Amino acid sequence: MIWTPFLHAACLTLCAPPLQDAPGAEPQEPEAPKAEPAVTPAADLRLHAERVYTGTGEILKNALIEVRDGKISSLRPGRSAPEGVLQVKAITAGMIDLSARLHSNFNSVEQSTEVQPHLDVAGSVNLYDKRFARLARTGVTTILVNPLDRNVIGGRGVALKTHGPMEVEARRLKGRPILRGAIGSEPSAANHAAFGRPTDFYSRRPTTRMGVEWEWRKAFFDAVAATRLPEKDFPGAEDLREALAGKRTVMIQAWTTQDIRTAVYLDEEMQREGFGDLDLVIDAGAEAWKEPAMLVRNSTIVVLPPHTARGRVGSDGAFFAWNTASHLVEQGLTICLSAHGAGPGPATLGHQAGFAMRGGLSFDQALAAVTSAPAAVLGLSERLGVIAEGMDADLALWNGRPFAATSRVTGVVIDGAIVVDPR
Amino acid sequence: MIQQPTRLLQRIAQTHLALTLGLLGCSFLLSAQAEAGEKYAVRAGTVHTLAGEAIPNGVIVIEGGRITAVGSADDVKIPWDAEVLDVPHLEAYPGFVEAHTSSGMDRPNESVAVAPFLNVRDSIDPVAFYFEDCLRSGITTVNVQQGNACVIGAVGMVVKPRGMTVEEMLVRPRSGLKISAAPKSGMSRATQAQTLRAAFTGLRNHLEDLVQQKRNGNDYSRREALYQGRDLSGERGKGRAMMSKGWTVEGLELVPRGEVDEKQEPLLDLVEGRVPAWIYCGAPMDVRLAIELASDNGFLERTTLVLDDSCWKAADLIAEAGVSVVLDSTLVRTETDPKTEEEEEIFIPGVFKDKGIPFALSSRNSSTESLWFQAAMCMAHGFTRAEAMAAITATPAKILGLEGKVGCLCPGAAGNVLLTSGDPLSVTSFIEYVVIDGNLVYDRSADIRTQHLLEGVVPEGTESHAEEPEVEEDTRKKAGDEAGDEAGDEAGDDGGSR
Amino acid sequence: MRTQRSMHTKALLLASLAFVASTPASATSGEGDALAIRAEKLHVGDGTVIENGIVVFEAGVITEVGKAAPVPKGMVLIEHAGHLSAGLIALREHAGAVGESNDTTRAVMDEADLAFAYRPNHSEVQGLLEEGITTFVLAPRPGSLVGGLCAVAKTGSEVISRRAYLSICTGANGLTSNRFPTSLQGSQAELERRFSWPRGVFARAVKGELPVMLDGGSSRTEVQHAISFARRHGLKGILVGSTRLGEMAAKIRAAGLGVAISNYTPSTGRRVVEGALALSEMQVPFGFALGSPNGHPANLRLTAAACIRAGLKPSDALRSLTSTAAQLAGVADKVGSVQVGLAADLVLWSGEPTDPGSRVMAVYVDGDEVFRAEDDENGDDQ
Repeated sequence: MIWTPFLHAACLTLCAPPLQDAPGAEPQEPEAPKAEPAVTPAADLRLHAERVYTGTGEILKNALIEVRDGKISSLRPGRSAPEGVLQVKAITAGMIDLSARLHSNFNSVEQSTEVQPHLDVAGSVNLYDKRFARLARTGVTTILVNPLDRNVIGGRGVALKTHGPMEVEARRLKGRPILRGAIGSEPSAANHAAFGRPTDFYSRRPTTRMGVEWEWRKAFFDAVAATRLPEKDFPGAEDLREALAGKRTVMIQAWTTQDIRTAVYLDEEMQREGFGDLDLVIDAGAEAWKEPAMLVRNSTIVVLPPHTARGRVGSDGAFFAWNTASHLVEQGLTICLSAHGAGPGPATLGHQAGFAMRGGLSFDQALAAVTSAPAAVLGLSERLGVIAEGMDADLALWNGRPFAATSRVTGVVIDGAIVVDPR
Repeated sequence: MIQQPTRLLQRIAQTHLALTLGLLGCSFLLSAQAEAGEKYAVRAGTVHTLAGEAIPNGVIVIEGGRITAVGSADDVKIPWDAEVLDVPHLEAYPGFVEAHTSSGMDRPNESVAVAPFLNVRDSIDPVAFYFEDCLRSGITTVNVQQGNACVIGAVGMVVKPRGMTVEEMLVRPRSGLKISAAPKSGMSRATQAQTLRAAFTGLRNHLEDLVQQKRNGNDYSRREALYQGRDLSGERGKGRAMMSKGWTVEGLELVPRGEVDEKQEPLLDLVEGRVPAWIYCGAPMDVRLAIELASDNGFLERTTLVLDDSCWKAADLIAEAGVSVVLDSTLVRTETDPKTEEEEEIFIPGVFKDKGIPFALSSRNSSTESLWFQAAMCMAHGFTRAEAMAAITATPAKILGLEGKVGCLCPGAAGNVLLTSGDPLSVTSFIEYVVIDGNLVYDRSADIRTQHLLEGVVPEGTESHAEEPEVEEDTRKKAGDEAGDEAGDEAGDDGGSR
Repeated sequence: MRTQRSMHTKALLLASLAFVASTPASATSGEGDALAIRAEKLHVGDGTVIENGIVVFEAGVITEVGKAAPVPKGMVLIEHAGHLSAGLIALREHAGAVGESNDTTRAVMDEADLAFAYRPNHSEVQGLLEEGITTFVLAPRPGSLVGGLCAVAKTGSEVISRRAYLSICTGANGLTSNRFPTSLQGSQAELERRFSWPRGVFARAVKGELPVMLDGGSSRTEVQHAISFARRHGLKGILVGSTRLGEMAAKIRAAGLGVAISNYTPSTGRRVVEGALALSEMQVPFGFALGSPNGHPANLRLTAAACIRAGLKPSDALRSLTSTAAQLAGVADKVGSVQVGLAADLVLWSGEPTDPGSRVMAVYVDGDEVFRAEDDENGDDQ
């Protein structure tokens, strides 16, 4: 240890209260040697749970979690709860919803042109929207906000914690960029033929599902063509080329099997043409169960919509069987679950995990589908999705077994802050 | 195991049904009707009577549609001639009770504002999808009432969700008169209140007129009754003094009851206590009107309030009036503080539990809002299992005046039994069989709709189908392959046989 | 009876106004060039009040102010048994340019000049005078991303500044569903582009030469975006159009912006007054917006009075109505205070100017008496 008398003196003069410890002295003897390692400074928050589902395949019994500076600083099983520590039945990592749909509706999508890959939804996000807090209360700690699917290519999504600073740029999670678009009836819903009202820009393509598909292909072909013909460059071309180069994920809403097909075939066409390989995520892939083989071939990740009583979901009338999640996982696919927003119904993301289990998914698979799998899509596996030392302290505290209908999230911790106190 | 003759009967009935309805999805509605005195027994891994301790290896004996014995297999002897459902891997629970619904009817609302002379009997559709869904969700007793868009609506009835005719479905006729304290569409709250009060004033005026006519020696009302072909024989031909806790009309004994106008009679029944009232409240402010109306006209103690989710705010008033309530299927209500703009979540059943108000949960019969899910939500919010289960069995049974008759597995009760693969409040459990009045009426292994929903059916011509048929064979059977498949005892597996 | 007479007078005044407006500011009232007024209380505009103060003005400009200001022999001295203040200033107003103050078919109208839309003899303008408003910022109505250049106009008289603000909507107010942009996503991308590679008025705004009037929209998130936008591009100016501005007072102060407070209405009243108090506490300079003809001209003073009732100091409120507003609009060297060298825009009040019970007894613009309450003889002034 280098600690010269000079430095010591300097330090003494600088610090108003004299130093307690002599330089180079041994650390103080801990008061209770067997309980706590001596050098551990006091944690910002300590939590004790009968069971901690880490998300790495482990269930830690009677575990103590310590949080410092918004991160999990230690995680130790087999401890009795120290005095005054927040105690709950179960803890999982905070849940992540990739299709939370907390956009500001028509303010989030620039409809003046149907392809807008260069726009960023961040500017339209309303952090004062009560739905953020509502989602947080259900144990969802991170969401992806995408533009409303009224454009073919709507723009770039933004990943956000559901609690934190009230400025989007301060809250934005810097992970993998995600480009959002849609296939199906929604992108053409507002458009019409040019009869009668030719002055209005909704009199344009696409007015059909075919037109939507054509716009997708045209966008990518034009973007590639513009590399050779700079005068053909257009706003967003660079974003599309980055998507082709695999530098950003392309997340496409496709409810029905023919829309999922279109998305996969688009990707395969880009590969055949030698343009690149899209990193494809299908959102709201309700009918993915019908043709899993092409998804396996393309290693596509699927985000599933919320389960409904009769199976019909979305504006395109897709049929979403309850075993879709388990079936896709059996095929080796990665899936994520989603609750599409924050109510008003009772079906939270936790319930969706339960419903997927009703369809045959195992608990561990269900947990992954609402935590680590979406974290990986966001490129944030280093920070989110599992409970381990060094990870963000985003935790869902449960009053019983997670995802059971008879239990619920009673407490929420985001970045080490207690957002919902279970006490 | 289901015995052979009945099975044959079932198959015949099944084919008949499918032909009649042209509706494949209904084929699991096993419609063999038990003859009076026919015996049926269920042997389950555990019998949860909800009226005492759970009975391991339990037996339920049903004779003539009613439970005659419940107990351990060691104690209760199964009659030698009883048909037995032997399911040791399943658990038995009483069927759930829906205290109030307007589903299962052909259009639930009549546009006439005051129409107590209507009866839901004429509107209930036995093949409505709703009743089919009830079985899947374990609901075996349903109180069907007119919708909430009325002033004074129809007389309702309690039915079981099985049977080809309303008579077959009947559990109890005249289960109550529907009233709404919330404005019917197009009316203001003031008009609604005025119309409600005027209906009872109208009844009173009518009765007084009748008495006056009799005193004047005028037999106009008798001639009118005869002209309309009303029954004036027996009790109907006799007069009776008015029996009401609210108000009375002197001299009503002079008027034969058959001479009271048919349109007014159901209201007189209400005031005299022969039918209960179900009063809908769409906002907390409606509760006061409902209670005032019921107490002014003497039927408060036979009143049940059907509440919107906002009405938790009137819980004190309800507790004071001592009435029971049926809750909306929205159990968590978000209230925003107007000053701080902070949101607060109210768990509504918790409010009523804390005030000691008897409450029944009600469903709109979808996966997330069905009774079992709502009871599970109650547990998630701190209810004990017994409290949660009571809100979908014993309490609604009591509200319907069917205490001990439905909602429990005890001797004397209707033979309505659910056989579940596990805890009925768990998402991973399923209702495998439903028995109503000692008849097996639902078998999940034959429920195509549920199979389709839970397992999907890969359509012809899809890519998976074309390229990897063997995968399909492994995971599920294609529609159309099941002919002749008799693996009826595979219930609980996800084998997909039907 | 009284109303009838009032109608007559109004008609007469209108006629004379049209005359005043059409002639240059050198026209003065009365027989001489100069006039003096002595008031029981003279509000200078910087917070000081002179008891029995005298103001002397000549050729439309104030020449003397003080307790013992010399009144030249022969000059008419008007004795006013009440208060006197500088004319009030409305920070965002559309009077006299209705229907011509915006063009929603175009998103960006960076060179639009509101001065050309001003009609000084418009009947709405007369309504402002009756409430003691002598100067206002003529702003485009919301509906475009960039609405144009705001003018500062004398009520019933000429425009004194054509470059008060560049009007910008960063929020949903600038959107319509049938032209670009239809969304916040689009509008923000467009504004970012205009201000990141600025030319013309945008370059002047970024350099701080041209203040901006930022209408962020009413919600908190829109206000937040507007403030961040101003900070990002180093813009100076005022925020308008939201009752949520007070909740962001600290951020507004950090951004060095001012505020035009929206009208007090039954639904937003609490937020308006609490906002004003929060802004006052954070020492954010603020004036009051009007926005007639949707709002009645009386709302300017009534909103200030509501703030006073909630705890704002009356002298601060009056400053916001006069001198602070003049500073925010960049015309403090011309109007907003009763000071030598400034325009003789004066209001004679029956009582305390910010007391809603006080009435406007007379109004002078550039030294001309342009309004006088006709039932003066009733002697009901305090």
